[in-house]
Amino acid sequence: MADVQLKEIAKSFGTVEVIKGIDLEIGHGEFVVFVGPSGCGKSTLLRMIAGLEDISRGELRIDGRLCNDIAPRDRGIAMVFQSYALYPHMSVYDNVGFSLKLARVPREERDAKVRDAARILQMEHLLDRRPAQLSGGQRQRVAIGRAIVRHPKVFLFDEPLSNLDAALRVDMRMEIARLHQELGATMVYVTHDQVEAMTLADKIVVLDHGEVQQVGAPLELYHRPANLFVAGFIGSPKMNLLPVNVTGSRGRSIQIGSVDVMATPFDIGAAAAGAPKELVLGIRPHSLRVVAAGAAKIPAEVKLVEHLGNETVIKAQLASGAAVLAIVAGDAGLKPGEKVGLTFDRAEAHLFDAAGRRLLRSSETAGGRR
Amino acid sequence: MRKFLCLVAVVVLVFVYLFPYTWMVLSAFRYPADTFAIPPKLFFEISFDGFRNVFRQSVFGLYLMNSLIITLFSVAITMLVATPAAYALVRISRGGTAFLLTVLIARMIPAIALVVPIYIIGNLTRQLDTYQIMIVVTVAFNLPFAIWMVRGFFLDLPANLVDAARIDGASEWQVLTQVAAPLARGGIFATSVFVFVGAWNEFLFALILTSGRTTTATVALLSFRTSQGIEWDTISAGAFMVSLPVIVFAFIMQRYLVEGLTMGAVK
Ligand SMILES: Nc1ncnc2c1ncn2[C@@H]1O[C@H](COP(=O)(O)OP(=O)(O)OP(=O)(O)O)[C@@H](O)[C@H]1O
Ligand SMILES: [Mg+2]
Repeated sequence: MADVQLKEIAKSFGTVEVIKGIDLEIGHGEFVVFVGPSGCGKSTLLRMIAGLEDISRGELRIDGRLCNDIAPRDRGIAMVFQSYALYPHMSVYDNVGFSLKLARVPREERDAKVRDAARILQMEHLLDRRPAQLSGGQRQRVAIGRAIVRHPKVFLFDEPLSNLDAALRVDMRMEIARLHQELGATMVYVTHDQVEAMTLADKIVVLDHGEVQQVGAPLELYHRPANLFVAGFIGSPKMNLLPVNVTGSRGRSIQIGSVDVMATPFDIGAAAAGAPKELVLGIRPHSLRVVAAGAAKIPAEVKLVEHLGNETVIKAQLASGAAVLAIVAGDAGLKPGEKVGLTFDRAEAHLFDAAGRRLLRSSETAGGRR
Repeated sequence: MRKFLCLVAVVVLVFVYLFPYTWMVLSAFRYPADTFAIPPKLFFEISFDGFRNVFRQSVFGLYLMNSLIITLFSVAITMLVATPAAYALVRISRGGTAFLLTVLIARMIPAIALVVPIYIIGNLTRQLDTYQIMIVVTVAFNLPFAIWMVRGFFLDLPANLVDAARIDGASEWQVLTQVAAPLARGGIFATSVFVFVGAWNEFLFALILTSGRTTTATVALLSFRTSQGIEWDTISAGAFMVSLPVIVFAFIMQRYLVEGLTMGAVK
């Protein structure tokens, strides 16, 4: 177990800066997930922690020790790759035991450790096979076994499950969660997959263009996204985003409205006085409710209805032509072409300024966190 | 139908490639009169005169041994240098390209341009007609090609394997010896076949730099062209024996060549 500290970490390939000064604290035994769009630098950041990429600028500390110039093998880390990266010319047993052999661990001790790792991952029966004789899920198990046999202080995972099919992915996800509990080790995990991030993480780090957009617990990111990027990235399907105008302000509250959205007051505390003229209103599909036409803040026409059994996905068009998604429980009994009204709870809606930052509600600024 | 056409094409190709060789082998086993008979004789009396002459007229056994010593040492040294060099060039990105281009340019200088300077150097250092000078020259001429070829096989290895080995605690040398080289084994053997053939067939430098003691078999063949004319059965018998080691070596390596080609598919 160890903590990991990143201070002003940056990375350039030639003249292109792909990681732009990242500050991050990863606590003892914490499960931290990096998410972000493709090419945002997740793998690069992970590889810098591993020591596979040089650090151009900044400080990396593992367990308090400055690690910038320390070789990967001396950092107390282990890494699992998306492509498994098993040695094809060695048996599973030798794959798992390779690091111990290099470290000149005596044969009996090595054997005990390899078998122990195999037992934890329930792959004792695979030890004599070659990687080519294993299924994708079994290969990933071996790759994880190769990591745990070293008893690393920090586990690094780079999209370990993305080569597996959906059902296996769920199994392995739970397996990794179990391992985290069992071993209590610090884990850093890169993924594209929202569900993996939300279910595994103690803390999610959202990256974009080599910069941290927000760090927080999964539900914190979901309920209080710091900016438009995080709002759009976390949560599936994506949050509906509608441009609105500020039509007036009174005291701590502003009034917003547009062709689509009828005038609605919002309490944004002291910021109300200097609020910009144009904002973006963000409402998650699950926060929209469908009511009778005319009685709601947002008039809409149903375009598409998808019945998923437990819930119904409704695609609707607003007055301006903008499309929104609403998801309601059960069977809504709606048909395409029907005129309806959409309504929402103001506590579940967000306002973003022109720079994309979310405006805090007065409950958040005055009383701090809920 | 297409299959049939393919077969015909293959047969024609094989015939075109193998005809001269077959003709040479046949010439080694018959009297020159039969070789030049018109129309060509399908059946002929088998003669071992050619082989007898080869050993009677020269110390051909020694020359074959010289060829073998020079070739085996050259192949071993070339591969022992080329493999780590190729690996380093794959792993080190900075300056690698410049080095590779330099190596290639060095390779483009025609051998004939270097024969005289090397002869003079050999003469000054009293190294003429020794194994050393032949081995050094052969290694020098084959190394650029070997580095380029092995590098290609290392480039084909998944980069994550090297990463995984480094994390597992392997030094660069251990990554090479325990992961990269075993996985590129087929490619390394394939390269060594090419180097073997190149070294074994070497003629120009052997002709100039050796005289008697370390003369190679390829050069020795020349001595069967006498003032009385060419002894076709003798020269063919010699050429046949010179060609054998190459075939044997390629045969031994064939297993690994196939293995090298299929390894990538498994990954
Ligand atoms: N060796 C390299 N040389 C130059 N540029 C690189 C190199 N490796 C990565 N990059 C660039 O750095 C950026 C970040 O790459 P990285 O692999 O970290 O992205 P990622 O977030 O892991 O993406 P993905 O989700 O697709 O795996 C990309 O724009 C990529 O093109
Ligand atoms: Mg990646």
